[in-house]
Amino acid sequence: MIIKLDFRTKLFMTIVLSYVMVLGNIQTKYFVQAILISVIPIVLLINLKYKRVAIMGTFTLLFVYIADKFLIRLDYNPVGAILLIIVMVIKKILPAFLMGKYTILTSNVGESIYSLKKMKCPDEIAIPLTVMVRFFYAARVDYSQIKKAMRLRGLTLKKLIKNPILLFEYRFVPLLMCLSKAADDLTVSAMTKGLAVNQKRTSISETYMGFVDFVFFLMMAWIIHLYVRGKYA
Amino acid sequence: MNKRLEVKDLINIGLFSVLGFIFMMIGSFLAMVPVLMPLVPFAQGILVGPVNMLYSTKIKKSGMIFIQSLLIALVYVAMGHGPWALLTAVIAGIIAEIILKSGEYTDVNKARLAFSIAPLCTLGNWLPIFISRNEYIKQMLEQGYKQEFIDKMLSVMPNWIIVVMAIVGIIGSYIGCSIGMAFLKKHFQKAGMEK
Amino acid sequence: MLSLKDLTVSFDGESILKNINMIFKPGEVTVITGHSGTGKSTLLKVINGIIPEYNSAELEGDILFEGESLFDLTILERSKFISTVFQNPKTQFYCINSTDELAFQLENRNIDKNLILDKIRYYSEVLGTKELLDRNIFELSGGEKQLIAVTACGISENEIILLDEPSSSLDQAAIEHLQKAIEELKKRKKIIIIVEHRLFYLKDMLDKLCVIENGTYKEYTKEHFCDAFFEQVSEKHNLRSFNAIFKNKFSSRKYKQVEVLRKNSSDLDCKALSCLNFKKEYERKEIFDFSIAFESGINFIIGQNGVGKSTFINLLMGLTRGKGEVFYNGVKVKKRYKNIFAVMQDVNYQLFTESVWQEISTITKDDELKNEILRTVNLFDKKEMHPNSLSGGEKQRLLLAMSMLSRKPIIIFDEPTSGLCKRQMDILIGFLNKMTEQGKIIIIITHDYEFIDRCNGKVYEFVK
Repeated sequence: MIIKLDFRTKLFMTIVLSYVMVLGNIQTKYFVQAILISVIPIVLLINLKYKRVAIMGTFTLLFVYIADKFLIRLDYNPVGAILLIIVMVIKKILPAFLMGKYTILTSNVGESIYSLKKMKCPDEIAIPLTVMVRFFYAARVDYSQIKKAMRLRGLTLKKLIKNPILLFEYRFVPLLMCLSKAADDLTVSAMTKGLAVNQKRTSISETYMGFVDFVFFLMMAWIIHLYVRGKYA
Repeated sequence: MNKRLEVKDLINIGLFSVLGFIFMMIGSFLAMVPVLMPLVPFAQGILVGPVNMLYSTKIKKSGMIFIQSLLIALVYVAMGHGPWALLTAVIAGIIAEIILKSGEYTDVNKARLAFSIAPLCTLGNWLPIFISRNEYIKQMLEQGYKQEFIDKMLSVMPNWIIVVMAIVGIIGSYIGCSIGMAFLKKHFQKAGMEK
Repeated sequence: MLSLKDLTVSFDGESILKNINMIFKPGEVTVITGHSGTGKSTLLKVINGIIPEYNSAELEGDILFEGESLFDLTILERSKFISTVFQNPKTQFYCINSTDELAFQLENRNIDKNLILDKIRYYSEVLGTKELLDRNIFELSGGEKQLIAVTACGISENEIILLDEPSSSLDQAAIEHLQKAIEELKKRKKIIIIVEHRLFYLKDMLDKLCVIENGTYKEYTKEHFCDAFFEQVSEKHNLRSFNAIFKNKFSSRKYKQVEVLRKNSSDLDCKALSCLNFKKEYERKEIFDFSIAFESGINFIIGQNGVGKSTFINLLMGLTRGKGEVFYNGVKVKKRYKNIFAVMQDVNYQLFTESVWQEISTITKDDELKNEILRTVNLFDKKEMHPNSLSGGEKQRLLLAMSMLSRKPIIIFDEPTSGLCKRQMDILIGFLNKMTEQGKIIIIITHDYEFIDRCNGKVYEFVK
């Protein structure tokens, strides 16, 4: 069965996980539950065939849990202390990171924007967000073209590494110029297609919260409950 | 002149938010070496400065830096970094807006100052590290670890380091913006692309 | 009916178009042509409102649509009946998904979801763009992008459709498709105005031809049209050909089909440049596995989109991973970029410094030579200018100058004629001939058969 979640659900889960796992003490008080929570994003990722991310996540998770047990028994030394802090941090942040990765990987722009608009997100946020994704692609394409062109001109990394500002200039000034022009062109094109700020608009990517979303909301409620109980009870 | 943001402004906000985000990401690779972590805001500032100075030439209305900061923070939130960056983004964004407004959106030096502050919007992303560490220590105390051991751990990464990070961040951004101003003069003004 | 009444457009007091009177009727295709920089695109911008709302200019006269002046309307208001296809396929898309893009305009009009989907289904069927639905636009070819843009015009059901050099980065098959799509829109009684340099694909559907020259224009209407007339007009105004040129025309010269999946498909001895055992796979599918050799002079590479032409030259230039060895005059070439200069399709990516002079100084230190070459390519007056403020043709000439200075024996062009007017094309051909005299090996990827026809040189067609 393929689980399809609404963008709002995904965003909510990401925020809950990132808040609860970092601030709460679920990991120490409810060990089993903590593992279960950490597994949620991994299951979701496997469900949509993002196996590589899922496997990497699982291994990192296993690794930090083991490393934690091992490091905390050692006597004090500065390197150990730094490593311990890193391990602790990863342990707390990783579930949220995996959830975030899931959110980013599985959301399509149209649906996300539609969801945001349903949450009364104004155009001042929604329009820039839409074009952000678009320009992210454009920047990637343009940057790889510029790198190629530099290489053909003999402006290789080896030659320019001695002068990092020049390297930066050759790489990024043309990129900024291209993108800045692209923004102008896009503006003109969008305007001739009737885009205006805060007008009434429909969307072909309407989405609805379904039963699955409800289940996951319940799950989050359970996690919040754990958080509150662990902290204040 | 119409003071509300138009399509053109919003598309520019989108472009420069994504560029700001990309350069911030590049800068954060420095954290791969954990000891260099406090320098990340510095590196981010240098990288993002030139982009932001070009952005400053497109800003003629209020709200554009604020939205940019907010959007960069939002992407981090969606990526699972926690809601903390929203807080710093609002603070940094408002301060930057006020500075920029005081220069009537035309003063380059004010723009440089504003964009020295604005990149601090992502400072909130570091809070979980401090919060979770402090939480952890509390738990360790409960579990019976000695205070002495915990003090030693604290000495590796004291809390005031976040202030240092903010300051080096501002310095880095200032340098980055200055480089950006040089680029503007050398390239963008000459190419007639600064409107 | 759309009419221009005594329209004059000036930038900073200098009028670029003077007293233009034109009438465009539903179901008519009007083609506006003329050399680069004569204000053809400006005219479209005045009609769809980009001028004066976005780019400032002084306007006199009037534009009337159904008896009402357009000058009182904003871009937004005009967007309800005017659609535009822009020249650059890469920057005109707002969305990432092609179906989202097609729906974009109707979404903005607050039209019901199901109605939008019906229209998308209908028009993508009629215009033959069904297989382009629900795709990532960044993965589409330039031709496919333009077809999406044309489909979007259909879906909008606007009465006026403006196209700004829609064919400039398209291959032969895509142009044929574009032609059919435009004909389909013509049947639906649209007012269609096309600004274009390449004219052959428009010949049969043309109702009116306008040639803009020095701020004024010449108008030719349908009753004059015949082969002799077209010949005469293109002669008189120095326009590109109205006649389609097919590849069998090249059979009289050295023409060769290269099967890119068969090893050793070319005779390799005694050639100046040989590429041995070039092999490239992508996602476990073999793109090519062959050897090929080129002599000095002009070598054209043609072939359908996706046959691996670009991948081949990228591998030749050492920009992509793959197997293969390159020999120049029998000596193995290790550092490819030391021997190869490339003029890529999008010249904007290839200029890095702050002035034309600096740009050319990255190639040589000899001031005499630099001055001389800048005079040859007619950029001497502009040597202090920023490369990015040059026009497309000038940027290309700057790169040509650099390629001539570089002393690199191999020069590669990717679609050099895209967006060039006839005059600029002739200049380019002049330089190519000069390079041939210098004994350079020139490899050109192109879809532009008219360009091949006007040059000498061998033609290699890549086939699977």
